[in-house]
Amino acid sequence: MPIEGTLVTLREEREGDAELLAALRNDLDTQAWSKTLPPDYTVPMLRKRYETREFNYDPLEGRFIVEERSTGTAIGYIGYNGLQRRHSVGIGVMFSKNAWGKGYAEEANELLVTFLFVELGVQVVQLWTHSGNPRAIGLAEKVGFKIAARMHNAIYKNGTLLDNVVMDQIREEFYARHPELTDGLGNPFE
Amino acid sequence: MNHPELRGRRYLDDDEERPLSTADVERHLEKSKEAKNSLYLTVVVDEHPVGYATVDYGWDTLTPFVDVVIAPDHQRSGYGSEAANLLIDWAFTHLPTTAIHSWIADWNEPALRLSESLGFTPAGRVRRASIHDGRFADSIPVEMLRGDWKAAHAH
Repeated sequence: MPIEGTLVTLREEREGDAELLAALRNDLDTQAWSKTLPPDYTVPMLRKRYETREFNYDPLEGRFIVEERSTGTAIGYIGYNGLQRRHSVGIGVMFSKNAWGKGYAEEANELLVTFLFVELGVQVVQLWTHSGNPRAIGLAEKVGFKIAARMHNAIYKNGTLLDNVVMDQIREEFYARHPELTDGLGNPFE
Repeated sequence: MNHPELRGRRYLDDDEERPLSTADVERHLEKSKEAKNSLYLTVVVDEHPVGYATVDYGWDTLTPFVDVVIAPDHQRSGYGSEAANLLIDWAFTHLPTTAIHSWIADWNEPALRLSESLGFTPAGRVRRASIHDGRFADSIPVEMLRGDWKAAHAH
């Protein structure tokens, strides 16, 4: 059962998603957090990465394709990596520009963050963005993240030196936003 | 590396505060030998090693990390401060660096004081970054911009 929302579904990556993933990497506005990648990623490269992913009961990352529920169209990617079990994790997101402004990314983020706190039991979720991406900062704030750190002149993109912006959300903040949920784990040190 | 006072501030990859085996330490040494885009150096005083110091710029020379670890018996002798200054000068002189960063746990007050005396400024507080002494600890990234470094060397 994929992770279902109202507007979007998060499902596993499939072979046919290579076109979407290559397109997201080849768009300078969606491709990466801080480093401009050459927009020359090919479908075979993405397919190869998909094919070499091995079965694992204990993965430290999760990769999801975001589908628009009304049409079943794949519109973006969302995932987590660097999981320290029951402790911390970072998330990342890429959405096709034609799917921006419809609330899809916000719901996808909320679904993933919920999965991380409620199913994986982490204490903190982190994300890294930059001062040249106010949309990403605003979106993250909508789903409960706060700016934790700002490193000046740390990122160079589109001809400009930008600040690296680290955002985080701790477990108590997530549950305070979700009074309908009960935290069965809490902070083990308190 | 297993000195209790160094737990949580050994600046190794994937450093949890667990005791390291000889094999763990050898693995780190091997990794440092092969490391690209970084300097892994031993801090030496009168031909005796007293600690280690690294500059790591990964894929981006804009923002290297500088970390210095001095053996507890040799701390408070100015070695950490001098080693850090040497690496900071090296990075700003040899790399097109805009800012140097380091991450310091919130409980590590000597390191926070040292970073301030070196000219670093706190850039925020990232919550629950590690576990130390029965609690989640925050991590404080500190930064030194090239302009700060230049100004400090202007006189």
